[in-house]
Amino acid sequence: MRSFELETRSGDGAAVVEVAGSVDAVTAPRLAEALQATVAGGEPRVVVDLAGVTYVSSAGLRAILSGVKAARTAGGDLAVAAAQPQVREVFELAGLTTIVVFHDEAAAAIAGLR
Amino acid sequence: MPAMTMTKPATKAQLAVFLGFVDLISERYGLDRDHAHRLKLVLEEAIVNVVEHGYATRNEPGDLTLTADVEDDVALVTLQDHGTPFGPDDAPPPDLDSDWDQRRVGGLGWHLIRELTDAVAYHPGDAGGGRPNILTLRVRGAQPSAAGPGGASRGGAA
Repeated sequence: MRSFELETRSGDGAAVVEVAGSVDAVTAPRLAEALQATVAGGEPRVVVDLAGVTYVSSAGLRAILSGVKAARTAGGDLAVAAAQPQVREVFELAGLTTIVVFHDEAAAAIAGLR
Repeated sequence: MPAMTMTKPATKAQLAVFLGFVDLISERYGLDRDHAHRLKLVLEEAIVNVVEHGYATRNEPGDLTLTADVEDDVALVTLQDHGTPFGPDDAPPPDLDSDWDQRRVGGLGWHLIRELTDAVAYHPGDAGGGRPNILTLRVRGAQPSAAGPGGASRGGAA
């Protein structure tokens, strides 16, 4: 069964976007919108917590990359936390691990944001 | 088990239905988690290509037929549509190296398909006539070896 959940919370000097389920061509636009809205709302330091994400396609990669661009353009950054191995592998295949910083946990990602 | 097949309009509104069918394929054939993950990724990218490129310039969306069979841990999937041909050679090369502010994501779909299949064959149709575009993808249960990915060929054998 496909599912998708997203929750954004502020605090600790960064916004944390918790995502769960499948980030695919159907659901990725919701992630992209949330990331753009977070940055536009004055929080350019963003952690995307993928602990609950079981699947990501190129549509999801596009959402994350657009979020990275928005955050860095606004003077902040976007980091990814807790990606499962299969999900991280998709980022690696797409060459995005040279752009996006990965951390094992959200707390480390928050601390690592420049 | 006989092959599974589904035909639906190739529209964004039907994407969730197609992706649900892909999950059903893995469930019915009992694919392990890794195999199911790669099959889903390959098929989503191929389906999205048809929806976003094959029928993008048409007033009326056409159909996409998905057929899947699994034998000896090898999934063989065929996509047939009557849209504008959009095969592996029609996509821009993927950008895997540019800095963040220059990075494009176009072409990633075909890149992922090539990386995660061990054979891709694309036979373009006649763009809306009676002969469909036929894309055949083979996804093994085990990861393709470093020398294994067959790459993509137009008109080659799967």
